Amino acid sequence: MAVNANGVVLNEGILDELVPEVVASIEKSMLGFHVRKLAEAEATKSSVKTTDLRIGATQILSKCGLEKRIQNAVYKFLQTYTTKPHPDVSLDHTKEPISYIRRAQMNWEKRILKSMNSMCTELSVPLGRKRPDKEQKEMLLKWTELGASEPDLSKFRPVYAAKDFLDVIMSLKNTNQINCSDNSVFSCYWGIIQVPLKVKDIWELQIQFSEMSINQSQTGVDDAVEIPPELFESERSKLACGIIQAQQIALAQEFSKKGCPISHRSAIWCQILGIEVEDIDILYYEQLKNCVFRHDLLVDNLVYKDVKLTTANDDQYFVFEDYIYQILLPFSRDTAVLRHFVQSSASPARSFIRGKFGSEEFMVYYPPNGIIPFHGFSMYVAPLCYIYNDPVVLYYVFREMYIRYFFRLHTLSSHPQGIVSLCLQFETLLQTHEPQLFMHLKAIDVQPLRIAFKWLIRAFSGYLASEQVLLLWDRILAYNTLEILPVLAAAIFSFRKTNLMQVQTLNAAEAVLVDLLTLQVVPLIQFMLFTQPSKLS
Amino acid sequence: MKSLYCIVHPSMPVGFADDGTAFNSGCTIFNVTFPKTAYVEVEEIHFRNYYVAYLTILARKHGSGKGEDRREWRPCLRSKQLMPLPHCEQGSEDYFVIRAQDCLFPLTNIVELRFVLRQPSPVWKEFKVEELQLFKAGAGGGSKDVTLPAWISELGSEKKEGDDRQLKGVTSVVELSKQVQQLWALTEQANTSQTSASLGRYDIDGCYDINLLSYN
Repeated sequence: MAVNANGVVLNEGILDELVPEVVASIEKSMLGFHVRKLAEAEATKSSVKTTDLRIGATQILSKCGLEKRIQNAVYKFLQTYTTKPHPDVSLDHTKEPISYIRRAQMNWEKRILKSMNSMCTELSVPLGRKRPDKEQKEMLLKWTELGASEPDLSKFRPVYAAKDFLDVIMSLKNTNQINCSDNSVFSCYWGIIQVPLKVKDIWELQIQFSEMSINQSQTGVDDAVEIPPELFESERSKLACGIIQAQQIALAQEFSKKGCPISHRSAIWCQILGIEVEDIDILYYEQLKNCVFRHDLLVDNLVYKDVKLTTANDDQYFVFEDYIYQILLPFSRDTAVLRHFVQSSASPARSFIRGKFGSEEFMVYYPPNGIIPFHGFSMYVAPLCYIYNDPVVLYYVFREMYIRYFFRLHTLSSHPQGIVSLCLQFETLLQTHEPQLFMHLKAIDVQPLRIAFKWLIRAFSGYLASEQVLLLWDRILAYNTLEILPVLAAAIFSFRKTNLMQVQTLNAAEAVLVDLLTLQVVPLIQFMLFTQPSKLS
Repeated sequence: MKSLYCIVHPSMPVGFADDGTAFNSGCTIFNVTFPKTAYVEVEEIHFRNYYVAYLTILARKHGSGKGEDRREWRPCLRSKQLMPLPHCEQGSEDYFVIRAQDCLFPLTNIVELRFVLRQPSPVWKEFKVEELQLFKAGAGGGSKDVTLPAWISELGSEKKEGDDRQLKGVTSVVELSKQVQQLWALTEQANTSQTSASLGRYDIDGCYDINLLSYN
């Protein structure tokens, strides 16, 4: 019986119940429009008899490839389906069932709002305003070279950085939990995270990532320059072409478990994420662009500041600076992103126009997509610039990746793939498999998570070589989980153990781990997962 | 379904009979009684968990047959697992629904219920069940009075043509409605095929002038 990414068991009963919902969701989409148009065209043909209509319509759908698209739409629906909560359950509880984590997230959001409001009042800059026509025309002219303009950003400061968020995570405490120092039965976790969430152990991870085991050829290992291509690389490329032609999400995901060849990555990722850019999508992107011209938001300045501080300073990504503005500025105006808040423990910030605080008819979300970018946010887009050169396709790929995965990296939640669980998983893996290293670092007052946190929150973007980041993100898409990130983080510590055992200060430890550009992710993950002694021995 | 009026008695931890030895047994019990009726039929039990790992429910029935001990407690739900891992947070604050069909016997003629809460992990300070509500099966469907609209009773009764004319010179209502029918069908179709997809507008009448964010 299949279990989807949200833990829903997809047995016969549930599948039967879901049929009307799946049909309704396809009918509303562009795919439904195409199916209807084709079926109507077929039905009006004089050669078709009414008794054969159903069979004829089904045949024409499979001939035009729409049957595969319908299969993909059903698969995507089932993968992202969550059971409807019981009517007693409030929306807050569905987003985050554990009360103290929910409260912590609310308090954190309040702090961010206060920071935004104080920045607003100190600098006398409105959060949102309509751009004058002249300014709109100027912006239209320089849309593709926004990086060339140097607005005065000195007064703006990022709302928060990774370090601030780590402090909040550290302060998470369940008041119903026994204080470990009081109770001799239960000992504390060694690391920073004291929240008792369930994380997978190494054997469960071995099963989950079994296709990455050492005895199986991988992209990222066996397609290296030294190895003759006929052993692996050419076969892999041929298989990739076949997968792209087959146009099935499940196949593309299964294929990506061993990595995607560089030349085929763009098509395979689009398949896995279910992205098919049609005219209406291009129109939607143009609409978002017009929204950027029409209204100027404070959040835009935060985006500029972030890009100037991070992406534009990075040797690997500075060339894409203009591109990133073309993605992030429309992203802030995209109200379709608001639907992901149902799954997230976060809530979008609200405001009221014309000073009419309290009246619902003047309520708006700020920014329109509800997401306030933090320092390093643009690094979620940067690696994708190597794969897609069309900004429209890049936009939709980034948006889908954000609402499926990246939002979990900067919100407090008890979800197994939330940042809190990922941090705990990293610490648990390191504590279990490198106890000597962990104790040494603890003895010199260096918590490993303080160094690894910035890697986790950015999904390693900007810390590894770009191709390595993409190989890592191949696996995130293929296995549909972020749990590979703490595995890699623990593997890096384990790999540099010899040097780390000799350091005596935090600065020295950070110096050992500052340069990761030469690391290769796939062998490291294999080393961490598949060279541990077996449970049976 | 209708909510049942009940009294939830305070919970008592299970321990030794003598007060001298204090220890956390990880088990508490509370009873639920129904003061307003002699006995009830329970269809569903709703509650919110607070760090309970296993729940057992015992029921005392209204004695019917001879020889049946009226004070006998019978388990109707044995050790239902609320938290898959008692040391971890998973399931600790979830909402649960226990239906009559999940129980070992139908919950009819119930006089009293006993909830046995167990939490074997020493990690947690307290554990309990909150927002407990019991429901009985509602009245059968279709008992609502449905009044037929007046025009249905007029069907089949033949009115004379002349009676229809309300205005001089205008054709009768019946004739008009026959001609307008196509138009009406088109408007109905337009109504039903309205898309629920949003337009993506974030502003209100073009205005998005904001100065402060709201804290609520």
